[in-house]
Amino acid sequence: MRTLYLLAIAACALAQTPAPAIAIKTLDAVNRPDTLNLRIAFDSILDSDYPGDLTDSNITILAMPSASRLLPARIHATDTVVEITLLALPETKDTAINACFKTLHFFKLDDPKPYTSPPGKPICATAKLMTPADAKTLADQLNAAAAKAKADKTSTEKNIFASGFVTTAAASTQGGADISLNNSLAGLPGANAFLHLQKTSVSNGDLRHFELGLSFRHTTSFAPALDRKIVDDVQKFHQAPTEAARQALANIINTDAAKYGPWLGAIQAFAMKMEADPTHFKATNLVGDGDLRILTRTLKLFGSTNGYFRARPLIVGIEGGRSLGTGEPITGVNWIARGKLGADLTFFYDSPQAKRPIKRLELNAGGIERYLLFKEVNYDPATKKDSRTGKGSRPYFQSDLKLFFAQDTKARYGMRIAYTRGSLPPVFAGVKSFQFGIVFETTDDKAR
Amino acid sequence: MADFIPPPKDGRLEVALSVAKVSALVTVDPLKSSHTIPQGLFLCAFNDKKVGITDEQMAFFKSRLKGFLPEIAPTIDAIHEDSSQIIEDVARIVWLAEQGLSR
Repeated sequence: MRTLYLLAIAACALAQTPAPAIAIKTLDAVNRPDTLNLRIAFDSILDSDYPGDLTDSNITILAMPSASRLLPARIHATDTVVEITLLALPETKDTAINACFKTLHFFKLDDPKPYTSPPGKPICATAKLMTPADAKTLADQLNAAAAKAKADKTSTEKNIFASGFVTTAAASTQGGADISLNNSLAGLPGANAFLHLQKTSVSNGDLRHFELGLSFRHTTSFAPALDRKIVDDVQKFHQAPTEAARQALANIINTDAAKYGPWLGAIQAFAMKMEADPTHFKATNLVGDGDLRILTRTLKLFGSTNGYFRARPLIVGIEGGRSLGTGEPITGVNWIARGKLGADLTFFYDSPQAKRPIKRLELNAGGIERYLLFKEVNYDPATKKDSRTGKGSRPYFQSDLKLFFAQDTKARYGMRIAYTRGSLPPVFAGVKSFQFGIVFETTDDKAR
Repeated sequence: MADFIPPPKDGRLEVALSVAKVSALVTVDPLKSSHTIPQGLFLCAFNDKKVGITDEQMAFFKSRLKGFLPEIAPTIDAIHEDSSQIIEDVARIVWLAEQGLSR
């Protein structure tokens, strides 16, 4: 009896599980002098096997508040967006557009099962009519909102060579702070303000690293001729007079896009920054920093789509400046001149259904060698003060490996191994740490 | 025979090709824009495991997109180099900027 009762409860729970739904994520309506252009973005993937979903009989466009129906002149659909061009413009009193789809067939992301919207429940949205100037203003506002959203959340992606060398790992440091903030400056393309802090109370683990500054970067493609050719091909594609011409140009674009090799390009970065020992901010330097970074594209991991590999196989640069203070009575520390050379890489593999024991692997590793031409302040672990000086080689290496062996619908389970060794400016406090632990992560890749 | 009317230039092909330039995990068929690999590319974030783009690589994405759409370069420059952005959100910004042009 009790079993039947439990089965009944389970059946009720299953029956109440809501079916996947499709919704309009955004509706934008721009009233241009000659046409009214609608862009309807969905939160699901439209099933292209149902062209009837995108016909006049399934779509109703109303100008509001007059409720007069507008007939589409052209409907163009991509995977998640429907664009509709209307030639009959709304009356001057109309200020909004309502768009409704009676039925839609769709997929959810990462779910191969096809779904159909429930009958009698049209998918609708209403939006204010915009002028072209309003559209541009909205684009600017969305860009500003994205920047604010980024500023409001903790950065999880640390930029190993954002200016100096920070870290490849997105891990918090025991008993301290590991902060990396990078914010682009509005109106100055390529310019960024940055703040990096690594400070901890762990023995042999305190890098005493802080830097704050402004940077400027420029990117250079390693395939400029191919880039230009594809741009030309795409322009011709948009202007193709016939479907056959479009087909031919699409084939050319596909062929050309496949010619990109493993190299993405180079970044030339320049920064002006203040370095300090964040313990008391007494040992400080003002440093100019220039480096060149070679980047690969994000590449398939051994041809598999279950993972990727990317790297910065060469970073070379110079740092030069002046000591602003030492904090301790030290002589002979004035000018700063350093050379640096480094590299880093990322491996990522994820195959929860795989039969092999490792379901997911994340590896970040990088290293940098700095060579100090002049004497600089060094931390002395014996006195626990910035009381030594030194020059020459100052390497730093960091790696972070996460392995997951099991996964269910909500979480994955594994272990993490992290190793750090070396020192960073400005006081080159040597660290040597090894961390090993059990890791539990939610499978949505968001909350950890 | 009916006159051939090409689909409107909405910037999505250019966005997809710019993503594909940075990440070899992504391929695009211009004729079948519903058939990007991975399927539903535009619902993914740039740093999704199926795309794998970092904040730093976003600079190359923007540079490439500016090559395709120089007429909206100021808007593309203002795209935040945050790879946790959903690709569709950037495609929407591109469409709005194109609509904002006086032609």
